[in-house]
Amino acid sequence: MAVTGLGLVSPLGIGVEATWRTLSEGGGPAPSAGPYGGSRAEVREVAGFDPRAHFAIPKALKLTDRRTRFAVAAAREALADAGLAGPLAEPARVGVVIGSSGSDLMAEEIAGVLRGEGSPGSVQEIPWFASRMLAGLNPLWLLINLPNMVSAHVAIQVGAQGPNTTVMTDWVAGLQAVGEGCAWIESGEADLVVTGGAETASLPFVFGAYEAAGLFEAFPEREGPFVFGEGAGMLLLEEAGRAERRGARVHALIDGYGAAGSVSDDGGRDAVEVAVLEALEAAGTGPGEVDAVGLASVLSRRPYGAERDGLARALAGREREIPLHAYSPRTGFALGASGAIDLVLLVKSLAAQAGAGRALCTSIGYSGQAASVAVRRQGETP
Amino acid sequence: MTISHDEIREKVIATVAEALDHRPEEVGLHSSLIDDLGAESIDFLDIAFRLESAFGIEIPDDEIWVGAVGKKNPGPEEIDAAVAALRERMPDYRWDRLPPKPGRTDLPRLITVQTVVDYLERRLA
Repeated sequence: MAVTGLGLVSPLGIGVEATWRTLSEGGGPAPSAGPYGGSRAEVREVAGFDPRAHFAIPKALKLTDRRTRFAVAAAREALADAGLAGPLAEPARVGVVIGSSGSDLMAEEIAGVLRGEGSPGSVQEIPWFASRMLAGLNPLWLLINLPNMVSAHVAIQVGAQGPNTTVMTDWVAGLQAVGEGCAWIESGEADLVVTGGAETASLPFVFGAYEAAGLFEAFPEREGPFVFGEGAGMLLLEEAGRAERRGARVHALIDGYGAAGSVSDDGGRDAVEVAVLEALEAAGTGPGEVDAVGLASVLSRRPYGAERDGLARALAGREREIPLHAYSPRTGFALGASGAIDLVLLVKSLAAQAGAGRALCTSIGYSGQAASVAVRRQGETP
Repeated sequence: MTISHDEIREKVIATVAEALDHRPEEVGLHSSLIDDLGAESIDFLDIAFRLESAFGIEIPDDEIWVGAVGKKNPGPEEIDAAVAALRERMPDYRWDRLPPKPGRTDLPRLITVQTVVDYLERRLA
């Protein structure tokens, strides 16, 4: 599977080149307490982003949340990068599959509706809650916040009429979307697939839930604070032969994908080990051939124990000699978009480093899911 | 509390402009929300909600749609009479875009800033 287009919106820049430059030069915005002061977690936000510049149909902006705007911008960049900036020749053959942990639900608006004049109601009183919400929220609220709207709006804005799905597996959603996109092309459902992940850091419900669950305190101090990121990473996929026929530049080839969940039996293999081994097997290769591992990790300094242990087993002892690329210390950890953002950067780094021909990108979810994508530079023997 | 005709008109123009992503100066009194300003069905939900907030009233489902005619489910004669009245009311509306004898399905295209203002004046009177 050929990756012929890349698109990126990140706290380090708007666009792949801008992000890559900031990453290479060592700059970038300092993390802030963001909208959630007083917690151990920090936030890196996208700055200077003008969604209007990326929307072919500006009126649709009122139907989109922040993550969707990032997704549209990155998707358009990926298509343009693949030489497909204009109207698509066969719209029904172009699919869109994007991973995201969900909408921010416009919490401010919900809070505003619920504050209202002294009602005794609570959200447990469903009739009160529903009537109050329905009366007080703009009827477009649902259209903006439905989880699948991120892929729907990308399709509308780029004119992609093929299969359209949103993957909602939280931290592993971005990489699972890429795996799904590859499967669509392999099964003949689509010729081109716009895929990746999109997320906003303005997620008060998520933040509140993580804090309540003690997630921010769960890691040792030396591993650094949990740093939320945001943005979107998009890839344009097509079958390698098709890319060659139309003379497209190929950034890299994806030749393996694995996804797994955890089982409670302590004697079993954990999800990251299964996912990595599946991806390597699908690629017809093994740990000995891996030159780099990209790890979409939640932490700002180093992967946490479970990530390290699972990788160590899958890589059969080579984990210390294989360079580990963890971009989230710089970009922030963008939940459902993290795997896709990291994959875009990993593909970019494969092109930049003469020595590395084969890499793995891996995501691990806090609910025990994991996904892994095997990627290699074109021309490297599989 | 009374609200002047000018205030109603200005608020409607501002509301429609914001909902349909236009600058207020692009929104004329006789702009068709559909034909001139690009409104789709969901935009009428949005506009009705924004008008409810702006004017502190409730607008029952579909009432913005009947703003051009004055009642729901008009019969053929009522449509003819309403269209004749609108021709008087909105002489510079682009009538050439509609069939000579507009029918029920053409009515939404007759919703203009003026008909929304008319509707609100009836409601707020």
